[in-house]
Amino acid sequence: MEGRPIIREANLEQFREHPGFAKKMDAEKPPVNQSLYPNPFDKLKEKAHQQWGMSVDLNACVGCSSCMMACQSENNIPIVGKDLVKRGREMHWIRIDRYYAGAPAKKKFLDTFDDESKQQFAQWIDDPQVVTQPMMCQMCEAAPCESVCPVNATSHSEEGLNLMTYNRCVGTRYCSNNCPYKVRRFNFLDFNKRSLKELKGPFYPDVVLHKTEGKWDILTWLKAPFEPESGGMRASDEWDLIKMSKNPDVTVRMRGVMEKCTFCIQRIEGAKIAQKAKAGASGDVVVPSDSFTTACAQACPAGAIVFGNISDPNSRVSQLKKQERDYSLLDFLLTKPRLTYLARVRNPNPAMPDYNQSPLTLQEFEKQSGEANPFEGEGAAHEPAAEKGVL
Amino acid sequence: MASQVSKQKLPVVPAELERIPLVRNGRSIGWISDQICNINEGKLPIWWWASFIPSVVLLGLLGVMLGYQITTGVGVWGNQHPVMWGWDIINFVWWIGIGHAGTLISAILFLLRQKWRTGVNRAAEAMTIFAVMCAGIYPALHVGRVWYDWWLFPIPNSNGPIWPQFRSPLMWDVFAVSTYFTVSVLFWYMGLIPDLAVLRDRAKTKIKQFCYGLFSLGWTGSNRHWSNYEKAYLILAGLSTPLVLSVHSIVSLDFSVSQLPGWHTTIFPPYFVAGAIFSGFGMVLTLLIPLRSMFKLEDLITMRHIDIMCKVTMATGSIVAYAYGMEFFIAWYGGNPSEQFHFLNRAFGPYWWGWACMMGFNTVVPQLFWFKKVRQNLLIVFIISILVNIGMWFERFVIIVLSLHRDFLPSNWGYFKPTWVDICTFLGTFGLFFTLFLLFLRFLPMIAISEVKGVTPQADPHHPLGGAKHEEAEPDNAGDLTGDLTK
Repeated sequence: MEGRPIIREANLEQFREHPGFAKKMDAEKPPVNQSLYPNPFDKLKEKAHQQWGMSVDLNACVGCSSCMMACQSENNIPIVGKDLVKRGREMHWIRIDRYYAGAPAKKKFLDTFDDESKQQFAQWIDDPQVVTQPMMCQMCEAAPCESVCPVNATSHSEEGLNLMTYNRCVGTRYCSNNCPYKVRRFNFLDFNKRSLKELKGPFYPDVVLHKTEGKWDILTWLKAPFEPESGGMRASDEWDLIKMSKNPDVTVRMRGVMEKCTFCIQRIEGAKIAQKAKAGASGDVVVPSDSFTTACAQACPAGAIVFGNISDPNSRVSQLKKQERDYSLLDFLLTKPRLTYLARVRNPNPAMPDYNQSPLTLQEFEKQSGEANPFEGEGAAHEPAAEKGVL
Repeated sequence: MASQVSKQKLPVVPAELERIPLVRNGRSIGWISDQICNINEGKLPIWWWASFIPSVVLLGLLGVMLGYQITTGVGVWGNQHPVMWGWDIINFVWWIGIGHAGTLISAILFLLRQKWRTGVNRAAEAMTIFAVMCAGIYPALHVGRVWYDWWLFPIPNSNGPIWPQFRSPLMWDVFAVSTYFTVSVLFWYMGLIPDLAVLRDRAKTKIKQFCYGLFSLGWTGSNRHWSNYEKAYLILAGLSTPLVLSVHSIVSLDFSVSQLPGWHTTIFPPYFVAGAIFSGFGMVLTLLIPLRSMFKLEDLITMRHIDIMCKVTMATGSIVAYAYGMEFFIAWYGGNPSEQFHFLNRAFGPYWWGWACMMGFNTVVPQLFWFKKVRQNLLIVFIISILVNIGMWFERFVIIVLSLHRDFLPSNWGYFKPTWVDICTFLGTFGLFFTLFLLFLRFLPMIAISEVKGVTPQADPHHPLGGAKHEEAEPDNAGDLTGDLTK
């Protein structure tokens, strides 16, 4: 983790002494500019009945990847095949980031810049502590991806969701470059139409020579270039089967568009519509808190992911966000994520040989940041007193 | 009055400090026309075919590669998560950088009354236009769904209406590049009109007479024509001047508006413009050094021209070197850990070789131009001019790939590798460039005939020598005005 405060953790004694340690690990924030032009969408937010948010408890996450599988089936996420995964083109909207923390004292200056493939053989990585972090769209309130899209394909809803309009996307991929969390996924090829053979086999899709049912693909394509029903490079029976496996509430994306976590917007909209139908003339259209959740949260066996309405102070997610362990990732970029994490607390047995006074990631952080030790003094020295909040 | 003038003494200029005239060997006006038009009218040299045929083959390769990419997807390139922009944007910025020297030479140097520009401006402008065309291919076709490119234009529509995102630098790019291209083409064509008329008047076949006649717009060379022409030329020069600075500034905003370490810096616009002029002059030198000897134009593109262009290259190279230094300094001084990591990663990370090429070719190599011997040695100048452009390619590689491959969260880190399609597409753009450039050499005058005539010594009414030779002046009254004029 290069000593960066990405996953924040402390030992139980440390946490008892400094319950607000996670927020003290925040980096120095730049001053917030007073905008001359208030965002007109801020007013729309007040009108909205719900504000969606999420809390991910890193203490509970065991890194089992159930959320990934749930998301994949819920959101029609294509399988890209081994070769493309190696090229970093997997399409998962949620991923489990896994970091190994080694002994920082053993780590030399140049080790940081080593190629990842070499790191596993490095000395400093011996006897590591492993930490995992589910990573998906953080639904930034000030989303860096939105302002750089030249065609307005990604925008903000009044309910605080960062929306992705597939139909509008031309695929410049600038949003992904500007996303500090790199949670956006691009359809580099027509993944949904690739045949199983291609998933296993060569990387290059063989447009001309690949055959389906005795016909050349290019011919099939020429006959019906814009016909979504033509199965592309798949045999038609295979295509029928695949169609049945898709979630009918979710779009199947074509090549050349960007996609990312939507907080299961189909479930949100479904819940809202159901509530409206139920409300009838009563006008009680606010979806009851915690009445539904996202696919990842539903699948998480540890209950680490909690989704809900943060404008309701009694919802579970609001309660969790009030905890002192709550922190937002890359806070210094002022993206104001709607998804926040709860810091991890370890409870190691002092009698064990691998006992450490404080978690290795924290040691690394302290080594890296020098003066900004979260356990010394009342917050970092550069923070004005008013901003300390709960600390 | 005449006796008063005759008493004026001109300062005596020692022979070694005498400026070399812009047209050497006292070439006559007729010789200039013949020599330049001969390229268009004479027999095609073998080397022309030997370069043209491979260029066309490469152009075909470009078509195949782009066809493959458009029909199959961006995935045929090496672009990946997290390096979503790879060779596509590197080559875009590289080509558009090259396309900066032409308009700088023709517009800014025109306003600054740099007369030496006349020898090189036409070819440099052609280079600019073709380079911008090569550049334009990339942003237009690198997107996932090429057929919706028109959404980047603010076209009124009935869907809401939906407008482009005016805050996005990519949207500004569309306007910056297309304006630059349009004005550059207009400016180039404006300058061509008198010369096209020369070709028209000399043309022997019907087709040539018709074509050159059509494009010379009825130019007769009358006083009225010249007066209008020069005003229009001046206006276009004035319009193009801010564009030279704006295009690459806006291209640089593609990066500096985002918040990635390595991209998010305010130094980018001036640094990109300097780099663009640097690479543009490198390319002009690469093209003109062989051409002047192939076409026997040593008297029109003299060593003085080469010398000045070397100096411009060195000056802009030094600005670029300063910018590199300043980036490192600010990374340390700014105290931003992400920024600090990024700059250390440039030097020590897995792409250290790209950074080393950039630093070596862009900061060290052009400093050789401090030595006059280097500037006078055409082979060394030619090699340096190529190294400069290799270095500038690596600069864009460093900026784009290195910033993207390791950013805020180490879990995102990746290693970008180009595919054969990337490489072939890039080679293909050279095919496009050289095909167009060779056609230009054949069908249009590669040196501005009328402008070069204007800078011959004999064309300047104020020139004391009026083209006469210095040796004729007597040693004791060498600077005497009347002494020279009466002889």
